[in-house]
Amino acid sequence: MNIEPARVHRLKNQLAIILGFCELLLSDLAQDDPRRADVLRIQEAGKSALAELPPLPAHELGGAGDPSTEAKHGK
Amino acid sequence: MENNRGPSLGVVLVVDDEAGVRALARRILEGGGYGVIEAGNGADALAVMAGKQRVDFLMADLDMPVMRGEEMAQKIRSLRPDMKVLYVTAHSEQLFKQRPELRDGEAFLDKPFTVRGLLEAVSLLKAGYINAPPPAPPASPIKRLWNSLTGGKQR
Repeated sequence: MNIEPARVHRLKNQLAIILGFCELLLSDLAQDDPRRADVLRIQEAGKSALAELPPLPAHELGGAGDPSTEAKHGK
Repeated sequence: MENNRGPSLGVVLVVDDEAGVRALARRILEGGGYGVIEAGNGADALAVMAGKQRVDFLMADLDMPVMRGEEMAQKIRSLRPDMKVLYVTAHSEQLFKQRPELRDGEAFLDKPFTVRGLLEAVSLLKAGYINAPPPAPPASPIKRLWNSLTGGKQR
């Protein structure tokens, strides 16, 4: 897939919002709430879309890489 | 700029040009016991820092128009060298190839981030360790009865 790096960045931002609020909704909904299945579908679709995005080359936007939730810390 | 509610673990200045990301960070951080102040760009963040509001941590998007997150953070740290900074970026792996060493009091978090990922990152910045998970719910009456009869031994 050939997408401009700036657009990849914007798409990742939007997917971060979708996936993040899905997670918050899932934590609020009871395990037997029938709406969970709908939110899970949105979440799955968001993850699939995220996986489709190409990594950004290092020279673009000051750097690029794969998404994860790991934080890296200074000393 | 939007103001915060009462913090207990500290106040995080969330700087991101994307309103939805700021709203997500606010929900997560307030749920974790932090106060939140929002700023949509580096200039607004510097204005917050020039004011009298309490700010304990900076959560900065690296890729913002006008002023990049790192430049903004350096300006803030020139005023407040003790300020802890969490950079949030969609491309941290490549960034680390360019700059493998982090300064003291700095951390990076990949975007998209999870609820747990963000809270752990801020907790690590704050204390150097991750807060303990919430306590387990109280045992059911039947379990309490079983424990009282057996001393808590499993069958």
